[in-house]
Amino acid sequence: MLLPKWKGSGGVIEIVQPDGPTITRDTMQCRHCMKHWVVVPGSGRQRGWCLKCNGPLCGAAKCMHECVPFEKKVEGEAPW
Amino acid sequence: MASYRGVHRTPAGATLTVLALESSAGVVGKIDQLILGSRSTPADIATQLVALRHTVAGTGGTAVVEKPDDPQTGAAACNLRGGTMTEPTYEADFLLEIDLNQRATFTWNANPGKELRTTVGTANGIGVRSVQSGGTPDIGCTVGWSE
Repeated sequence: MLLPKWKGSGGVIEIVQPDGPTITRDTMQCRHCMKHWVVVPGSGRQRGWCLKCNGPLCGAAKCMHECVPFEKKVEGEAPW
Repeated sequence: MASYRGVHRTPAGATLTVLALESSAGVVGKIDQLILGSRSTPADIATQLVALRHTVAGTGGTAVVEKPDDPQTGAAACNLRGGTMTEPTYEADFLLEIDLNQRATFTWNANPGKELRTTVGTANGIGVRSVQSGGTPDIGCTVGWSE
């Protein structure tokens, strides 16, 4: 199913440079630590997907091993 | 929900905070926009900037007065601190990394629901920090958040 772009990504970056084209890239957000990263297809970086949160994971060990949504951490119910 | 903006500039360097958004006792800030650039004379100077969560707020520096997007809105509950300060205690893991040539301008916009949220409590917040730089250009930072 095709989704509107904003539902699939966490954000967007734009780099304006004087001697080159403007660069626009999507970022994704980890469901466990809130980290954003630039999506680079084919980069080889190992990321993940949380089946409970139904969202992407950054690939850090602490995010991959246990499901603790960042909402809990923000509210102080779980440590970062 | 009210949205605000704050602006500050600080010379880049090693582990220097440009601008930090500090939570209040009961309100969290949701950062939805960062704009980074430099007003210094154009030069090819690379600076590594990161957005980090802090657990002990900085002291000193400059208290930056926010501007609400809607002039009818009251003052923000969160605080902005910028400039040279006694650095906050940051976590090791960063939330966003920005490697930037001084000539370029960087903008990041979060999509709805994907903002960087601070943790509740006055000691907590999120700062934009230059980790290392090839010089000391002024780094200007605009942060937009809602609460």
